[in-house]
Amino acid sequence: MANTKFLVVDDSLTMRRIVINTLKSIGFDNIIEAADGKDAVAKLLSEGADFLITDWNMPEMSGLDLTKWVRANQQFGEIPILMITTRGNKEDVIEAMKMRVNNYIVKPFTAPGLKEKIDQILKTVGTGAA
Amino acid sequence: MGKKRKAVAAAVPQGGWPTRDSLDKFVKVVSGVIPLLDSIRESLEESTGSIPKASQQLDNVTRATESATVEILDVLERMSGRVRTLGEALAAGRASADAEAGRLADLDGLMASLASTRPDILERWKEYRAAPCGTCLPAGLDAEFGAISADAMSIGMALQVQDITTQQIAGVSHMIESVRMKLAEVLQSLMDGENPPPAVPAAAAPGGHFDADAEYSHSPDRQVSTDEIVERWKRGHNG
Repeated sequence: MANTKFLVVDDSLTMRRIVINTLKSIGFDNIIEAADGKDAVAKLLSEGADFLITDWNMPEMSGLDLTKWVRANQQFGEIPILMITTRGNKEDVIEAMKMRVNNYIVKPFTAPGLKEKIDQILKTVGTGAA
Repeated sequence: MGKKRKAVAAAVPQGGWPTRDSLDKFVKVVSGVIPLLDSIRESLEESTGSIPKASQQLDNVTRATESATVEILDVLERMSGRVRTLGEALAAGRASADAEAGRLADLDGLMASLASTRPDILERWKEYRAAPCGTCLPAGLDAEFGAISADAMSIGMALQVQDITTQQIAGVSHMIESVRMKLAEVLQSLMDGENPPPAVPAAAAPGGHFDADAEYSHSPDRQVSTDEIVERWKRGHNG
């Protein structure tokens, strides 16, 4: 699990750095990044990834559209997706769950909160549960 | 003649025809309104011209704060690296100290055997062993390094505020652009077919990729309620 390759997607350079630093602090250092959904698709196709952490509001291609693309893609369709966004309305959360994100974090997030969600997802994926 | 008189009578407005005085007053009012409209038009032109500058300044604020935030994150990363290095050196130091303690314990045994032949050396050895350790590592250093790392992490996490304020500012820019477009429409209608208004550059407004309602809050409530929504969804769709 420590070798899980993460793709971190956010149009904010600050947020990408924070997420990446947090991942490193909890033991994950195999990380690539993208500045929007379109860039993320290119990175997935060229470098691959095992776990996607994505923002929602992004230019070119939103996190929701990225999730839709991933879930429709044969090669990456089942990789875990964690949405990290400022959007906290019930409707937004449900819309993301309908697109089959594995879990949802509202910004600002905490390091223990991120670790907890990642551990839960990796454990669930490991057991094959939804 | 009867019909003509009736037609003229019907054309007379209620209250009678305006007098010369009232007509003079009307012309005076209209004459006063025209320069006023010109003044309004000039103000609108000036405002619509200033709005792109305001949006650009907001954009500059966002870029400056992002640049500064990334600099701070760079420093924090270096700090964390140094603390890790110190921690590793501390661990190595403790291992050496433990090995040293083992060697000294062995020497204690050897020195004790000199009690009868060289009690002076034994005495000096006892004095040395009783003296405070000058090279020992202070207790509690591990905890201090851990606290420094935790504080650096806290600072890093607090910098999420920059992303959130960027989105709030983007929301303001979007509103400013909407106002600019409305003003440009009003200006156009005031020109009303005359020379077209001067071209006003669009404000530096972002696309729709922001959350104007983004908020910076340490309260766990939002995440707790989000977790509840996620769990309810999963329960409802995994059965």
